[in-house]
Amino acid sequence: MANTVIGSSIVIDGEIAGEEPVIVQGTVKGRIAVAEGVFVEPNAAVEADVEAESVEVAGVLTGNVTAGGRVELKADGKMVGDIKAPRILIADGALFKGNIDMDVER
Amino acid sequence: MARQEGTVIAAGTRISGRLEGAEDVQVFGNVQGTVHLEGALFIDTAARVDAECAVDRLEVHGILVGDVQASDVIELFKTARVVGDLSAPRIIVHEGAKIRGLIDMGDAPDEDEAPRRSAPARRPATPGRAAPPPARKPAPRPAPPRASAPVEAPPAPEPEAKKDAKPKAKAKGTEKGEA
Repeated sequence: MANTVIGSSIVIDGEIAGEEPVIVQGTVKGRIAVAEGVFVEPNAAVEADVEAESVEVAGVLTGNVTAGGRVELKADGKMVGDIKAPRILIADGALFKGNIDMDVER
Repeated sequence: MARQEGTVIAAGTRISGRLEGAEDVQVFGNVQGTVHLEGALFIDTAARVDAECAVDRLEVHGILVGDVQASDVIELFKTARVVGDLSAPRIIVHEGAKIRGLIDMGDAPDEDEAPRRSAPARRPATPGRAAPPPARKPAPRPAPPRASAPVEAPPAPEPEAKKDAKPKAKAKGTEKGEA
């Protein structure tokens, strides 16, 4: 299965939608809505609201994230925004500012 | 996950908006909006791009709707369907490709440019032309002698005659007498 790759020199201003995983090495502004994983690689910059099955942040992500599964902030990752997901991992060294909602039943 | 060179828009992916960059982009899915690249844009057989494109090189196997300006080359392959104006110094269209739009490969050549140079080289191939046979006949038929010598017209009498002639009054008089 082919992945979508946004290369390091690429800037997208708009929306990415689809069924395939998206790997961002460059810059995306706007919105990302995919049925698979979104990978924000080191040196990538995403200023977008992200909806995906899973999200992995090793670069910089500014925006709200909604995931059906897991959101992982890697050690080099930086994120500002709210996260809504049932499973959230934040590695040692990661920077994060925002709300976290794991939909905990009270 | 294996790191790939360049940018790939996979088959199930749609991008709408502005896409810019300095690398090659391969589209297997859908792109809508504008694409500005210092690099090549590849549109796969099953891909569809509805975008105004400014790129270095463009290779179309699928559907492209929008105007394209390429600084190097545009190549349309047999499965390509293109609607839009194409502008590039080199445009290659393979058999089977369908296009609707204007094609512009730059300014027309100067009027005194190419054709004049190739002309002298062709001359030797047509030898008969250089020396045409003398088709003109001398026509020695003698002119018939004239019956009378040409009469020289006398020099027209000058202003004096103008004063005397008054034929109008005379004509008027005859008309009245008859009535």
